Amino acid sequence: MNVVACYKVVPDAQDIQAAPGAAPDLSRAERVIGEYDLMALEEAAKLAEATEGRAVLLSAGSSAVNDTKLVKAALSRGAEELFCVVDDALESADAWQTATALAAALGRMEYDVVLCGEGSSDQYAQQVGSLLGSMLGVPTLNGVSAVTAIDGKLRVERTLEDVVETVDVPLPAVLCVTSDINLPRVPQLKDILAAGKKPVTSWGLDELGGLAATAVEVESVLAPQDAERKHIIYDEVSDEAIAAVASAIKAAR
Amino acid sequence: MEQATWVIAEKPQDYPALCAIARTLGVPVTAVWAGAQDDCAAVAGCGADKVLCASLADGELYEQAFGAVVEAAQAAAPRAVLLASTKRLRLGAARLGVALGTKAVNDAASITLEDGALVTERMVYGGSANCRERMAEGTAIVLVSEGLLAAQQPAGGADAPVEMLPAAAPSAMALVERSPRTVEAVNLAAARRIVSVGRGIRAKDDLQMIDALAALLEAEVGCTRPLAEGEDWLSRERYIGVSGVMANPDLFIALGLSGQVQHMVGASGSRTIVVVNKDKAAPVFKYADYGIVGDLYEVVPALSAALA
Repeated sequence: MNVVACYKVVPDAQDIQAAPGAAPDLSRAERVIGEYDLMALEEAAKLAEATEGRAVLLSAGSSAVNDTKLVKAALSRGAEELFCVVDDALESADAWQTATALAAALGRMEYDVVLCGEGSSDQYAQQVGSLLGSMLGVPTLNGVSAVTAIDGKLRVERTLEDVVETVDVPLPAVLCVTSDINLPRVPQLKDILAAGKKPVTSWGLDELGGLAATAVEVESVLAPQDAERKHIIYDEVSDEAIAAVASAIKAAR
Repeated sequence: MEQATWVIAEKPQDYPALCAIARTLGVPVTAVWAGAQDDCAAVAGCGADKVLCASLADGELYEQAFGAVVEAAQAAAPRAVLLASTKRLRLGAARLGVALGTKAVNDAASITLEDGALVTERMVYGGSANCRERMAEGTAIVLVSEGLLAAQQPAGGADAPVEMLPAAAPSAMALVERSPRTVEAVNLAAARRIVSVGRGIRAKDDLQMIDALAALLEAEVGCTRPLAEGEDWLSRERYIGVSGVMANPDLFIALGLSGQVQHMVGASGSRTIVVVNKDKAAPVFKYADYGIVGDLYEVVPALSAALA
């Protein structure tokens, strides 16, 4: 089975500096693979192994996608090859624009199943995988918490708010996996070294129809005003500190 | 384009709140129901002007019935579609989006009409920022955040006329089994007091100490993502944060957690925040009304003794 796992390169949320009322500063944030995409990468590797197939990766984003360290980080997780759509216009792409770029790239790839994470860790719109499947016109499901290949199709467990469903899904298909479908591996040094030798194919947006127009205009992205906090902090544990905080707790409850 | 706002939920009880939001957009409201035909009557009295029903037979996939909604939306091109933020409807919103040529805005915390354009706000970057988006033309598709839905004064009204939608083309997917999900019955979103714990706890057994403090305060125990999804020490229903529960209790006690924005955004609506962490530089102290720099293994039993 040809399995494609998609991921997004995102600014690490811990590094984002945000002054209340101002646009958050992303320039100092380290770029990382989306936290919830790691489960898609892991599941793709497992599914390829179980079906004696092949797992490859697909990403669309700015030139950060091609950063050697990030390419190795992605390819050290079991997949054999990376395909990417790289254009700085994708840096601020919304879910629609990202899904359109991924769909165009998949038009040049072989795939039986495409796995996406639950949502990107920067936007967390939880829309790209579902948009992608609908754009490709193939069976699409989200909330997927287990996948097995049976008789040329996939048997999928889907965990929703109140029910768990088992669904048979014919191929090709797009599945969005949950953040607890697996525990992603921790790549070893040998995996990281081997990742550097794996092939990478990079397309520009101009080869894939350009940046899609979007009907949703972003007006502003601003850090919220922080709630006023008292900031009464005791620097060490003392009877006085315990008594004071305990009485504050009693007053607040 | 049809000058109407469509509202879609998975449960009849979500329609009155959705209809209330839809009413503020100034055009007729159409409630669209994909589900058992028997439940259509419950949807009809929720404040809409009209009901469209896509009937879902027993043993059929919800996504099959939703296909009829997608086809109807493509034909009618309503001005806006508002959906409850459930997993099924996140997928449904994307399907509607592709049929109508736009993306859905997810988890909107506010929806307003400004100069004829629909304007929404939602959180991005793990809660570090709010994104304001504007939809001037075409169909605006918006998944309404749980918080916004809960804050509505529900609409109601006389029974609206019901129109049945023609069945959609059969889905290639097949439902094999559906079973109720056994989830721990805990509702942190509604809790008035929460004791939240992070990586500072070293072993699962040590959670007894946290439970004891929570019991004293009649508080619920919450946690950061690693404790629910890495260690499985607590159920996922107790995980507070941007991809988990968004809580707004009177009292939030943060124990042995560093204060990553993705977690703290789920607690930022708390009236009073108390922090215990042994690292004075931990970002969590930024959110503190009261804090103690110290080991939770020392502080928690001492607090419990003082509160007993």
